[in-house]
Amino acid sequence: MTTPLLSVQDLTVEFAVRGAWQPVVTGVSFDVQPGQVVALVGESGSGKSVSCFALLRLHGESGRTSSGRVLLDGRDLLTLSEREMADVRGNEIAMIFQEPMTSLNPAFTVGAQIAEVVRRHRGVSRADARKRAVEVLDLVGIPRAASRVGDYPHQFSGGMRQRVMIAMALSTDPRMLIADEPTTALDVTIQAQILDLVKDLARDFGMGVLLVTHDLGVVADACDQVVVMYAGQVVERAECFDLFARPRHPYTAGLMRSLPRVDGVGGIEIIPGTPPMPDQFPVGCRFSPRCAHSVAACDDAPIPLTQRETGGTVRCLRAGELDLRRARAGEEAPA
Amino acid sequence: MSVLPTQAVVVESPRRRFLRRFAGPWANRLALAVLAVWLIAAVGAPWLAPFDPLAQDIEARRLAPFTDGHLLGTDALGRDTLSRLLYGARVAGLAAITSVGVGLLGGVIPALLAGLLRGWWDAVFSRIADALLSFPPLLLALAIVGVMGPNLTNAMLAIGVVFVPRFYRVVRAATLAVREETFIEASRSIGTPTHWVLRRHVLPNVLSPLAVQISLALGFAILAESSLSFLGLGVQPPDPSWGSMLSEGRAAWFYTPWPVIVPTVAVVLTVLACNVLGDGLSDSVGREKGRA
Amino acid sequence: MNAGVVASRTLSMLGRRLLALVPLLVIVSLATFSLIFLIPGDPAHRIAGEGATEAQVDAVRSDLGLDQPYYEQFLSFLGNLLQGDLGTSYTFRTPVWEMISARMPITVSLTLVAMVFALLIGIPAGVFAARRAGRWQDRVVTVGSTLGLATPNFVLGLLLTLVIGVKLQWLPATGYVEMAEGFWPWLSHLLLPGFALGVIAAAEIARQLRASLADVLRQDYVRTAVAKGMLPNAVVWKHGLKNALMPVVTVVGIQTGYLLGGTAVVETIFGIQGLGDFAVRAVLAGDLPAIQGMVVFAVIITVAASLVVDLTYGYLNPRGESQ
Repeated sequence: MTTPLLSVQDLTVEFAVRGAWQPVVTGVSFDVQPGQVVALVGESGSGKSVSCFALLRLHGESGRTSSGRVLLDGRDLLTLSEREMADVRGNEIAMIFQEPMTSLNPAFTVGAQIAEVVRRHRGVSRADARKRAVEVLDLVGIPRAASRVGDYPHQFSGGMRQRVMIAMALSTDPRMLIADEPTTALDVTIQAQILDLVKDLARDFGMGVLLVTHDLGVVADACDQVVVMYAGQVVERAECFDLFARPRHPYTAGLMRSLPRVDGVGGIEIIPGTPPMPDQFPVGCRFSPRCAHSVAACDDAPIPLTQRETGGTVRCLRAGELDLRRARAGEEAPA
Repeated sequence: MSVLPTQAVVVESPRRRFLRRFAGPWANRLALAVLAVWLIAAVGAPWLAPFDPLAQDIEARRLAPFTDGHLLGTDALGRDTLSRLLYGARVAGLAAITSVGVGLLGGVIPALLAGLLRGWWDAVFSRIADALLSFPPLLLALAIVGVMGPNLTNAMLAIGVVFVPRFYRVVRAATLAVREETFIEASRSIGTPTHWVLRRHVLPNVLSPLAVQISLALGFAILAESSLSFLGLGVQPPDPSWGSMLSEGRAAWFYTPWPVIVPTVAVVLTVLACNVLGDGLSDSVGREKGRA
Repeated sequence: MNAGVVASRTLSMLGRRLLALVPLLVIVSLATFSLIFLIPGDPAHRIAGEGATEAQVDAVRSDLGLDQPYYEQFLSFLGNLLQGDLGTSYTFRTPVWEMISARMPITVSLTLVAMVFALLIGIPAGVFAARRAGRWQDRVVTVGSTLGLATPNFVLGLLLTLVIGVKLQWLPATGYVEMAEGFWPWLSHLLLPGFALGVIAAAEIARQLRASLADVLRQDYVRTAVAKGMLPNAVVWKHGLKNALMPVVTVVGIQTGYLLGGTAVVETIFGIQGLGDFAVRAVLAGDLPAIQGMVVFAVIITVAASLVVDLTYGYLNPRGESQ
């Protein structure tokens, strides 16, 4: 196995809630290989955005990483000084965000914002930086890039702005891209275009991509590996196709069941209830209150991660015994 | 599966919410206290002043505080500083209230008409207000006093004129905002006379931003009155005013700083209290501003 | 958006603003002219002086055109204005415009020094407070600026001149020296009054900037700048400031306009014979043309300042929307 580009090991992030530090994300681990697209999936409040912000240490005063390691090529990012970290951001790891409307500075041209990153990390001349800006704008499919480079963000549509963000992220040839729900704010048709773009770029440049999303449809389309999060923990991790073929965690299965099927078999089921707040995490399995397969043992103690039969990990006591595939009508009788 | 506990729903009237938000920060309470002291000084000056503010005493010139019954000392002519301070508070209060009154008189009704009825009213009044606003405030006051003659009344009138377009602006903006509300539309559509709509619907909503402006205006009026009196254009000597006390205090500076320090502290404290009050009102009434 | 589009957009805005100014200036001149009605009693009598004979008063009256019907007087007033003639001062017996232009450089110098202080103190203070929003450093700056705003500029000026000028004698207490006679003499005479005026303007600037910048620093695009690896200073001073400056520019514009109109009391305290001092003398002498001239001049300055502010908006906010 090749050395992973990014290796997140046992990451725990705490937020200040009413004066005390509460762990919001606990023991998160996953790897991203070069050229691989890894999806980080979960509903709102699952901790997926918190986790990826923590990778680049973007939380500032409101959050802190209390334990774990984030290894970029073996180098633990969490031990870097602030200045060293600033050298990594936008350079080795680039990030794009959910809201392209507000993520670009309205007072500067897109060309200036891209050139700025290039000059920051590569120290090239203004002219060269501008050239690079035109280059990447063209790369992401902005028509007439050379003339658009002098335009302001408000002169672009939402989808175009996201492309600009991606261009800006790419301008320094980063090894890794973190995309926090890049398509959530966009139309479905534009979504597909953006995802294809990200996929192609990963493949063409050997860039690792961490794609954060709550939309399983996006995952199925674009990703190689999937990490499912719930209530601040990783509950299942597997190769994409394998996960969809046979999910081993009831939550994952529940997510899939809430998607409509093309062949129309079976209805859409929602998962009843809501995820717990950080200060109300159960001692045992955090999904247990909403789980149809929950037994007494589930609530006794924290559930460890175990190996899945077909590769990857899962956090469920009953993973081995349950068959959660959607094709089956009805559920397993509780053991 | 647990059942969500029912939560008690508390309904707070807008008035209570305002009082709670306003009375919370200690700065607001302190400001109110200072203004209360000022009010007491202004109203009670004739009874509280230990000496006649105009009485000169050659024997007791330039005394330091706490000498011979002069709690705050005396000035170059032997006049008791504390007594002059109290009467000065009276002058400041008079100036503030009168000028604000003039401003309200000239600004509120046109603003209500302009905001509610728009059209011709708005065009004319707003133009006049813009013109008045383009005069630098103190200069306008100076000019008016200059032609009318220097005395306290003219000074207060002049400052009042400065306030007219400012109150106009605020009230007009608030009226414009309120008139967009559907209940105004509804009311007028059933033929409610304009003055009724103004009184019952518009005015209550206009009062809050206006109250903020009034507090700030009070502070400015005190500043303006003391500036004018300092120049000899407001209260005429020998009548005391904080501004004229400052100007006269210069003469005694070599011997004692107190005739300058006392009115300085008085002016700064009072204006500070007015500003803090204005800010406090604006914070308590408006939507929660993002405080990091 | 190229330079051509920006230029034509600016010109059209300028054009519209200038057009809107016409009714404003008419009303202003009418108001200024109407000051004459506020004079108690007969203006000709006042001007001629106490012991003037009937003939002398009449002479003054016809001399100044005060015997003509009001609308004729107003029209000639307006006509003169448009030709740049602001009348002749009663007390100084010189054209008002001449006096104003002679004193302008003095007030401009004072304004310059004051605004330099204002920006040098106000902007760093505002940035400092915004970066540490909510913490004690922020509190200190906020309290400081509230205090500054409550202090009348002349009180501060008075204290400065008395303490530093008279008592400690570190800097000259009064007077003005032309730059031609030496840079330091010129500057040293302006330091105290400039500081008094500037510190208070700084308080307003710091307040506005703190609020505006604290808001901007919470925006998504600031997070993007950090995620790009930009260093903290670049994030605050480049990305943050450009978006936060608009309210500050308004304040600076108003302050500059106000200062250029002459700060009457401060100039009086420091014995600086600028426009403010001129206004005070005119007022003390009841010199109507001088008063009218100063008022008109001050209005023009204020209007010009607000035009400059609007032009700056165009640069800071390329969207062209109102914030």
